[in-house]
Amino acid sequence: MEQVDKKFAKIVFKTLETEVSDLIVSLTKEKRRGVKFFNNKITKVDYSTNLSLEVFFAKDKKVIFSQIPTQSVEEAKRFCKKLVEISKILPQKEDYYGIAENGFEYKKLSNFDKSIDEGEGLEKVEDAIDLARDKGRASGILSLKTMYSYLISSGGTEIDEKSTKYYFSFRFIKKDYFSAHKAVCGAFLRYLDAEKVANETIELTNLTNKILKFKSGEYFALFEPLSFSSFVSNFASAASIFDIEAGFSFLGGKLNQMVASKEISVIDDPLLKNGYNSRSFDDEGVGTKKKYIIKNGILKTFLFNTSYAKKYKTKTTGNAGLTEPAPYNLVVNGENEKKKDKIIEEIKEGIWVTNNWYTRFNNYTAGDFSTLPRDMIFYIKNGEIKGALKQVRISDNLPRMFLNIKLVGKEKEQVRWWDSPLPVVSPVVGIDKVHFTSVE
Amino acid sequence: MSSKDYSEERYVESFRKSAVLKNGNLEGFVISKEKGVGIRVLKDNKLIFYATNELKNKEKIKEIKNLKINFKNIREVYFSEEKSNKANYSIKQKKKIEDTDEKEILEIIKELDSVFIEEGIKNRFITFSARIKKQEFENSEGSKIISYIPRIHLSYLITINEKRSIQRYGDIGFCSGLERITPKLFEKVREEVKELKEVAKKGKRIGLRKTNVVLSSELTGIAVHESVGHPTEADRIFGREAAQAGESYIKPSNIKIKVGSKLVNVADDPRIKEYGFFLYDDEGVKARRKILVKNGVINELLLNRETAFQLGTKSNGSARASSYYVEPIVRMSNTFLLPGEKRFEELVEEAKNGIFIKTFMEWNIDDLRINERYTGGIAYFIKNSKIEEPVIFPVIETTTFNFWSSVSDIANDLSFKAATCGKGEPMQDVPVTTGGPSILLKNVRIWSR
Repeated sequence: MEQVDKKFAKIVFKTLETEVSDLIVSLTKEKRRGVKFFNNKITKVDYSTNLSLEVFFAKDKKVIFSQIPTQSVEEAKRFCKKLVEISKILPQKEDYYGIAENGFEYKKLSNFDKSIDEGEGLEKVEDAIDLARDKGRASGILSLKTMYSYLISSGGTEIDEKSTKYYFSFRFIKKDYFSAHKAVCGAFLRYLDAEKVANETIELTNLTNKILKFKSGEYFALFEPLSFSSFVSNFASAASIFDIEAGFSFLGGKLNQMVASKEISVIDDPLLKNGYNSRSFDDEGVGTKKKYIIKNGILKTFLFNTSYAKKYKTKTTGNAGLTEPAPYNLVVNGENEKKKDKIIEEIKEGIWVTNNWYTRFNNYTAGDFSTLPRDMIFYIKNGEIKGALKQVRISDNLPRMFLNIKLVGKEKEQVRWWDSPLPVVSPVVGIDKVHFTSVE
Repeated sequence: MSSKDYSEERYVESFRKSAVLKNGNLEGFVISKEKGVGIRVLKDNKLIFYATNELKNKEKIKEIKNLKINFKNIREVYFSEEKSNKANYSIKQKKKIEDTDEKEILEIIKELDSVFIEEGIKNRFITFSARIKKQEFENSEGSKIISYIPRIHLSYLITINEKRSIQRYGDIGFCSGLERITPKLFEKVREEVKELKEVAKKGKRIGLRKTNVVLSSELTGIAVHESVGHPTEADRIFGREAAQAGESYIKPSNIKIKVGSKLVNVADDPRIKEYGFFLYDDEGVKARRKILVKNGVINELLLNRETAFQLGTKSNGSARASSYYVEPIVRMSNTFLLPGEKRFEELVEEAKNGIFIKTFMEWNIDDLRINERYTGGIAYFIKNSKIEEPVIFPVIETTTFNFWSSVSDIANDLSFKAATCGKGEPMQDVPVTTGGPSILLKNVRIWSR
């Protein structure tokens, strides 16, 4: 089947090849299976397939992006010809410096799980739901995907890759303000222990049955991986040179400076084994590589594609995005990693945040934002959980929070969710002086 | 209980022209066309969704319709009985997207950019999108609905650096051809930038206080959307969105709860020709106005066929899917606070002393839709019933019930603002409008960020 799709992409490439100077045609085929469940019952079963054909080309610095209709070759050809005509009347993109003409060495990536491709896995939800029954309400989704990607470029490369993904989101609600959520992801079904996810989620809601009154102020906060993933996703995305130019980043001018505590390192690893978003080539066909974004608190690189790299007289980091360079899988490492149990034991006073959502910035260039802890929020005193909190908000500054990171845990999970669409492999992270507010 | 099998096919063809301008540079022009079909099947009361853009694969569609689902923990899904509909409707464009030259689109974004340049804004990010969505819906009950809907959308993020740095994200969007992008709109943006510059230069901080607050239509609209519109979505009340967009302060056992003062009346009306327009929803049900809150009490929920069945009633046409590739779920359309009779100036007069907030940047709300926050962009002191000097980043952090209970007067200056609303997993972004008139809130807790 892939051969037929590849042929289609090649016809589109040939149609445009002689008309333009820089050309990239990329094809993605997605086969998706999934279930959605709520109140301990599966409510929808999903079987879908989609073929997406994207074209990027430039001629005389005039740049076009397009998604081409894939229903017939003739229609696609007609559409391409129209694109060429349109490009002629466009103004030049003054800071366009071309696509990659080298860097086409690829590391072998084997993130393909035959069992996902052949239709296994959805039954794992049943065991997780069974664990929740009689205790409360379980809701979530399990999504399994096979992805086929093919790219051909006038820069001189042609490459394809097949991978699989799983994503399991499980939220358990005992009652209002006594709920917990985990959302894990990866590439191989054997790494998905749905029962363990369900057990750990349910267990979080059993750690206290008391709601405490809360006073706004600055507290030490321990963030679960799901919660910290939101912060680190926003932070790492701000390293994209596009975000810096567009006003979406607080990292402009801070290369090689201390932007976080020395306790933390953040790696972008596109070649991560079992990585949800692993890829061996970027959107212009450049071989991807592992890189530190933050190493012991120092900002080590911005994220570039070839055009931006030439503009800033540096090398591409293999993070194209032809418009917007972006990270793939983030990995959070600590300088002095400690076990979570030990960390909690040593908290004199603090708040343990298990999830948050609705992160919104008041000013991206300053990093001022607020976000809402959601699900279990524990108040800890002298290493003991004293109770849960409700209706609290974090209102702070992201650069300040990263400078205040005090410790990074040991046990890591690969997570992603609404507030962190990027997959993040992270342990718990402890931050000093986080500003919490409470609704009156 | 109805247990008959059901199926629907929703063919969507969309065509889009868009452009991104960053600090005056055209990042690229995007022209896209996609076609696909989203199919739902209720077979033995089990819900199956299938989507594809490989339209020639008719065998696969047949196979899906006959699929046997074997899960132990499966829910039986029922749809409310609805009348079948046949319709063909469109929005008439005076300046058609299909006929618009790319140069004209570039002129529009350049014109907006020139407003920012003339006001000395160095950091500017503008996006423009014009989209046509053609949809053919057909179900096994005999409904057939064809629609052809154009939408245009402009957004901008600007950074103003004066004594303080202020960012503003703005949205302009319509369900129309390009005729609604007018010079008047850009003059309004210019006025807004001038005001933001004054706030950045002269804005004073305020300490925590309780005072009277006048909110503009923009603030009323976002508060309506977040704390009334979302919580009245019936799917989240029944728990179907628990692991995604969350649930609601409204519970299935107690719908008619008091949210605010008797002055508060909220409607959702997809038939208004604004950004959230449609005449039939994505289950083929005829759209109508819903009064979500009547005299301060929850009056009606947003329903699709599944939740209507659960409540033993009829759907009110609130099912939407953002593309063929996702299932229709309960969504808002044009959601707004119904206007009062006073003029804006009378609200300021009545406030006597307090704060007027005109625009916002940062906002959020918890997953039960109770704990909400709005941070002002353009804001001023009200002193002796007059709007005076600017205030920097006033924050209202309160509960839904406190917010709507403190409404003491409502102006007659109803207006709508385009917005993009997210829900579901995979994430479904749909065009909506947030709307309302200016309102006066009494005795609100407020401080500067």
